[in-house]
Amino acid sequence: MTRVRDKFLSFLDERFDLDLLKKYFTKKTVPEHKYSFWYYFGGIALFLLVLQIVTGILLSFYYVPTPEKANESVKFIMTQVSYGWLIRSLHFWGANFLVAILLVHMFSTFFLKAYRKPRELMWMVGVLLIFLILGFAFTGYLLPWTSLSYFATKIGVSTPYIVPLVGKYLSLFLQGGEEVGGATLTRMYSLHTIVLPMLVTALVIIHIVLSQIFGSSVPLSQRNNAIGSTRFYPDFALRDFAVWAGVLAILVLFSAVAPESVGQKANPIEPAPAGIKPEWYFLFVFQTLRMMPEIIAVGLITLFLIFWIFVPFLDRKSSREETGKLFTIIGVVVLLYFLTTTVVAFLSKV
Amino acid sequence: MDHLSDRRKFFKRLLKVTSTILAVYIVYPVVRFLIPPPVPTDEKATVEVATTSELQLDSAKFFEFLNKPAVLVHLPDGKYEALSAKCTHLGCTVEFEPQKEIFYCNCHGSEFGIDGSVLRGPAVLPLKKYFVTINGNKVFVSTTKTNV
Repeated sequence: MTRVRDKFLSFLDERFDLDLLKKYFTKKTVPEHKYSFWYYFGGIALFLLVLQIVTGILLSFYYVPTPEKANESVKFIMTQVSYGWLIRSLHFWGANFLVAILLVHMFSTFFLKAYRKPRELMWMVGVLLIFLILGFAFTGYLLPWTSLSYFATKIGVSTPYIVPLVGKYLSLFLQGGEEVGGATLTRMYSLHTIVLPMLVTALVIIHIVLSQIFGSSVPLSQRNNAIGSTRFYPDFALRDFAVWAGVLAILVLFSAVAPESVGQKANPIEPAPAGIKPEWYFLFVFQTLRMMPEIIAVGLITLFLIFWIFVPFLDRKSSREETGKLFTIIGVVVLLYFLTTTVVAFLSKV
Repeated sequence: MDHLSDRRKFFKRLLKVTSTILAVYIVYPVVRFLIPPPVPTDEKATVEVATTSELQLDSAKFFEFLNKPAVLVHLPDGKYEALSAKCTHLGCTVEFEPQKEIFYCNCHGSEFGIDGSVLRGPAVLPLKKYFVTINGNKVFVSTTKTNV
């Protein structure tokens, strides 16, 4: 077996100069300081994304994207297919973990000012990736065709309607017709399994390539301290691997203890279920829409997102390697707003 | 030399213009393809929803009408009222609350009167009303006033 492996490796080495790759990874180092802990979150997100792709592909072997069969096929996966409950629950919990880990990764990057020159593009690609992952969550939510997912999607695709000029067309594009129905399910499935994976893969490759070019950012507060470094391979990679194994164990535990339910099949003519609310990661949008006229809420959220993407260019101090409090305060306000609105929406009745 | 430079500039501009036109030629049909064709809104339809004995006083029956949810209510005074059950805010199907004689939307809390009028926001437009005709013991709902 070892001989076969050696032969295969030398076959690859003759053609692709594997030594070069090995040298690169053994030479690559990761800075070591009191904030090094936050470096693990990007890797965890990548691991969870791969897990989502694998479990998603497995689910697609049995899932049928039609209003008549969607809910039945999910029920079939959960009750008849061997380990179907595990694969689907891993996909469900994996999605929730992925959004949470990405938020931690984004805010840690923000507070450590890791977006500063020369990593501006990395930040922008990262923020776009979070939008796309939320797009994954939104498009995937309708697929089980449950009463809850049906009306949540109805609200989601109707909200852009209030945007002047393009809103109506955006709603129509997402719905695939005048009502949420079979056409919407087909579109969501297509976006969830073809369009978004292609976009996310492309952006993840760019994000990783940029992270290899620039390496890990050292926080401004640690620049003058004597900091050590860890070899990426094998030391940091091994730790990464151990963390991923831990995350997988927690996910399996969640899936076993609280497997995702099949849910009641959607019936458009039945009233929307009482107390309907979006998933936790959309609660801040839900609460913002409740606090002010929708057009203002949508406008403010759009303006904020534009601001957030361009933060590296607006924070001039950090791009000059100077410490400053303004953007830290902005970050705290944004984080507090997100947490407060999420908790308020979670606790409140409709 | 100037002549050559002008020629280069000209071709660069020409390339930009033709590339833009080509991009529009490709993008326009794709965008149009993604927007579904409009559904006629002046559709006329009549459906048999219930029998007079089927629907008790002060109760409602939800049904599908022109691919949208609708509701037929048997009022305490014996009359019938038919309305669209689609909340005019963000499109959720409303619920009938017989005690209060209102329609309530579970999604954002809008309330509508039995005649479809808005009692509480965020909805601003009333529920669309349909016509009810009784023929024998059958209750029909239509988009226009018709003799069934």
